[in-house]
Amino acid sequence: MKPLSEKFDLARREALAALDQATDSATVEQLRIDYLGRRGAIPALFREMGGLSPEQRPVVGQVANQAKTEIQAAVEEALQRLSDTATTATLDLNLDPTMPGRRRRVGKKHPVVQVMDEAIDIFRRMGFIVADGPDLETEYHNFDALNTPTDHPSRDRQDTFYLADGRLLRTQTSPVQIRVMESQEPPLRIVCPGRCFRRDTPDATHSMNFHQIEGLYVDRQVSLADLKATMTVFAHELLGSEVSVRFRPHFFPFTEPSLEYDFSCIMCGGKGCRVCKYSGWLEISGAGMVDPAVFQAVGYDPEKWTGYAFGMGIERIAMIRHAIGDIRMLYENDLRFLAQF
Amino acid sequence: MKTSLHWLRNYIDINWNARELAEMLTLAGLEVESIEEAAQLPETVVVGRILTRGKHPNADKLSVCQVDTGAEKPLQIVCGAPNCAVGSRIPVALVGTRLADDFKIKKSKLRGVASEGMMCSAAELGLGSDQDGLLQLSPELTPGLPVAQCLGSDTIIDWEVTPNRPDWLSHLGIAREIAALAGHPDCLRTPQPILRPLPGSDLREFVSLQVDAPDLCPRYTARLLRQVKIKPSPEWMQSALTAVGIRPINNVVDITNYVMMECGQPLHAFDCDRVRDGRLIVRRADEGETIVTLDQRSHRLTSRQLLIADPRGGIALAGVMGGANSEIGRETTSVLLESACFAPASIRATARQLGMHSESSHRFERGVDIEAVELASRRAAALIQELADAELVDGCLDFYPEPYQPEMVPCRIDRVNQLLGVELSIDRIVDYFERLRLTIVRRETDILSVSIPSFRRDLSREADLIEEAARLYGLQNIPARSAAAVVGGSRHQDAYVPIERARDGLLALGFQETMTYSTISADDALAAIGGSSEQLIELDNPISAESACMRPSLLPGLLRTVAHNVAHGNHDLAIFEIGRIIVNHPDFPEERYQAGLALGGRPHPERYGDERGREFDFFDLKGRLEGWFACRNLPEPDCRPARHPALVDGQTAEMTIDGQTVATLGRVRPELTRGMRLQHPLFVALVELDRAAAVAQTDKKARLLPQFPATTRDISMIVPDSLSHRDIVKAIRECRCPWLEDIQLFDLYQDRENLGPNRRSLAYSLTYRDSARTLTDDEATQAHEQIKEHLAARLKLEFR
Repeated sequence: MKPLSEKFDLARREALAALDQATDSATVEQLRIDYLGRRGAIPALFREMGGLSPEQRPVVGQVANQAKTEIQAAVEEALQRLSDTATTATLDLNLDPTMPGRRRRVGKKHPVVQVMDEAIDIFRRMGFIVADGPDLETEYHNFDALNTPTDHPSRDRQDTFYLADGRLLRTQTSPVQIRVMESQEPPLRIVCPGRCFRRDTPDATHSMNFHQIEGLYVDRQVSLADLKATMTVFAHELLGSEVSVRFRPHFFPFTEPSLEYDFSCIMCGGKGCRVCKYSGWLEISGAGMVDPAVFQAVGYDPEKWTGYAFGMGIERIAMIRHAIGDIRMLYENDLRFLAQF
Repeated sequence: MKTSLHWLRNYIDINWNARELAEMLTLAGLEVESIEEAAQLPETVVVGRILTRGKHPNADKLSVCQVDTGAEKPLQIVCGAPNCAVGSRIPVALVGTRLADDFKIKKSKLRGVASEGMMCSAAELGLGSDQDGLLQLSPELTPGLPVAQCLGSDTIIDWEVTPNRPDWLSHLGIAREIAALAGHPDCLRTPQPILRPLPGSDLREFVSLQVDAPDLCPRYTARLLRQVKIKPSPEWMQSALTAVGIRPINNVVDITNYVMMECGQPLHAFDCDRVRDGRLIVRRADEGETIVTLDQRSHRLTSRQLLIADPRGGIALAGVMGGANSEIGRETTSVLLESACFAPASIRATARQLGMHSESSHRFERGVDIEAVELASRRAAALIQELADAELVDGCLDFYPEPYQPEMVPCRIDRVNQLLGVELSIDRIVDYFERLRLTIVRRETDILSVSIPSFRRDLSREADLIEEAARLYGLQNIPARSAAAVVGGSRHQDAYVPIERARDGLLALGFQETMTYSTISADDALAAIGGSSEQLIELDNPISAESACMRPSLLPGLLRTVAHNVAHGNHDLAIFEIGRIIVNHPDFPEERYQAGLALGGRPHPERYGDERGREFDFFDLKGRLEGWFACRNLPEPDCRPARHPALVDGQTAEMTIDGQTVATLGRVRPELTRGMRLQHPLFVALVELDRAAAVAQTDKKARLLPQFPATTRDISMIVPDSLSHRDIVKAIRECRCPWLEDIQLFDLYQDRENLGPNRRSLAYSLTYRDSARTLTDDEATQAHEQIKEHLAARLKLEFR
């Protein structure tokens, strides 16, 4: 008769071989019952160990435990192997990864909004916050308080949209300055983005609606030098530090001194091209020191406070930046056009 | 305002080329509109005289001309221009001339007729944009002369003069500015007219003046010239006027225009023999009075308009245009010369009202130099005497009841430096002012008192003087120095934050931003809101019916965008606009921000099979909106069926938060998209951003994640169609079961045969969880049964 340890070993080897050959999980289960089940081969052999001497028991016990552990592991492994095979069999092994993906579309900001947002972002970092005002304005806020003479041509019905009751569609974002100054005490530093309306017949460079961003800084000792610094930073932030800025005297009723500022042409770097009409400069906006009459209109003491204001058209910057030749394209909303920016 | 460089040189030596001059003045606030430099014409472009003109045998629009170009034999040239009149002098490019790199004139045949050279328009010679006909040269020119020699080498600069500087509307004015900028105000040469009146003559014998409206006419002067010979003005004057865009007419009219362009004072010449009794009356027009102006147009006037009249009636619209009844003609021998100052507002109103904008009204509207009125008259009279062989009658009528009193404006040196951010000395500022011909009346250590000359009425306050100092110092020389660091206000006040947040959410959900006009047609507006026109804000002076009122909704703009894109073959659309809408209420107009979304077409046109064909439906839009609310940290809105004038009943819903409507969504009614050829249903949503922003939760507190497992139980039920999903969920929630965590609809089954009409089967999965322990099976089942009992009692339904 064989020693018990050999019987364990034999059972182990038979079981492992059979499990290795098994091709379905039912066979594996049967083998598990045959070997490890309550009436299986291994428990039967364990029962035989009762007749061993105390010296033999640990030696055989080691072989016995090894046999049991290995068979258990082999059962697990066989089941895992069969399940993997089953899964693989159901997989589409012919998936063509070059087929079109299920695309998630991402929306983009309108190009005018892109410029507006960048401008706001730049000014916010310089300590400005955004203020808002209505599209429908009173003549007082849009013109009178801004020191516009009563017979100034911009008030004409040919240039400005009026309602029957005398109110108007604001022609500039400057009335927001007035509204903010009427309700707040200085110092203040605001930008006012928004829509403006002028009674222009639409063409490549004119639109009945357009957007402006207006800035106002009122404090003690604000000077023209501050304005120049702010506008220079703005130009560099928006278009790059190679852009230079030029300031020219100009005339606006609500600022004194008034000036216009130009950016060196971003298309030709200032050498002169079609976009800048061969001048090397792009006219961007108007600005100046707030006229004392405007301060008086809102009840600020012009001796105590000084301030600067500026305003610029957003469409124009967007058109320059993206080489868009016709302002109407910005309002046509052809998605093939908008998707480009 | 056009100036000729030749002309400017009469008053000042110009040591700069045109570009340098333009740059210098641009930086001083006088902007350049355009510079036309002298053309570089080849010598082989010569003056030609058209001898004969015949019809081309084979072409209606062509002529065959014999042209004298100074050579032995005339040249035969075929020409297409209508203005090749016999006798006219025109430029001829001789055979061999190269007009452009790739354009050389050759002997050729045009429709079978030989042509030896080309007669040219201004555009063909690069002299401007006029290509309508041949360039007409002065009739005195000798044929054969190179055209380059007779056109001269003048440079024309067109200036963009701001409305505050009428003093720049003349050659002398611009020369004065150049002198100030150059730092040599004394180098200006102003004309010194010398008059030689006929001895013993007296103007008062012939002419009288009566000003009835001194408020509209603060100064009026008149001079009389007799024995005037009307003829063309000399070549130098004609070419000077032509250069600045004024058509020469005759010597007297040309002189008035010349003096206007020289010193900015518009003049008018009347034929004195056609002024009844030589009586000039400056008065307001009578209501309904008419006048026929030089351009043969008849105008009906009102009492707001100022008229120059004789005892019979109007002879000129003051400052705007002369009357046809007193016009200078070939037979005129006696010229009454007007030089005056009219009130700007009155001239502007008249010019606007009658649609008559002239060089003259342009200057009066902005204000002429009242002190220079008489000088201009003298200058013109001297020229007429000289160039029209006239006799000047001694004397001048000068109505000037309130002579100019110079204004004194104080200017503090500290204030100049503080406002400009510079440190200028008082001497330097005084120098700047003196260069500008301002008089320093008093000078103390830190303050000046400045007297303002009559040609600078734009300077009336200290701030105006500070600007002058800045101009002369040069804005380019002011340092860029940053302001003290003060934050402009709290970020929480920043009006743009809610708009930005709303936009970011929509972009993330895959919507493309669009932007449409704020003004739309009343029809579109009413179709979108279904209300009455009282809700619309209508413009009183719209450009067209298409843009006659303010949009009360973003819907019409979205539909326009959809129409444009569908017409261009793009049917798969996910777009939005964020913008203001304005709705009129009885007492006030409400302006508020709205977001409009439109969704239509296919989510996956890039895929294939069934997936490719799938269309966006109502729930695609609703789901996106729900995603938007969630990412904006808004409370979950309550969604209910609703009606909307632009949306299909039964496919329209309203989302509310705390009873406030924050969004309306649904399928667009077919009548609103009629004619668009939509291939897919179109869904839109209108979101009230102001209301949504008001309820956004900003400081949400963290919640612990669940630590114990959840149990689910299902309910399946048959309900009438009238019972909505919302009703069922609401009823389940009514039980207030503390363990109920989630309610998910997982099945919908509609089958007329099995369930009967207007009924459907819905199945829900309810999740139960306790935050402090694991629920037992029994507890979950008991809670679930209670909910079922409640439902059965509360709603009309059967469990399956």
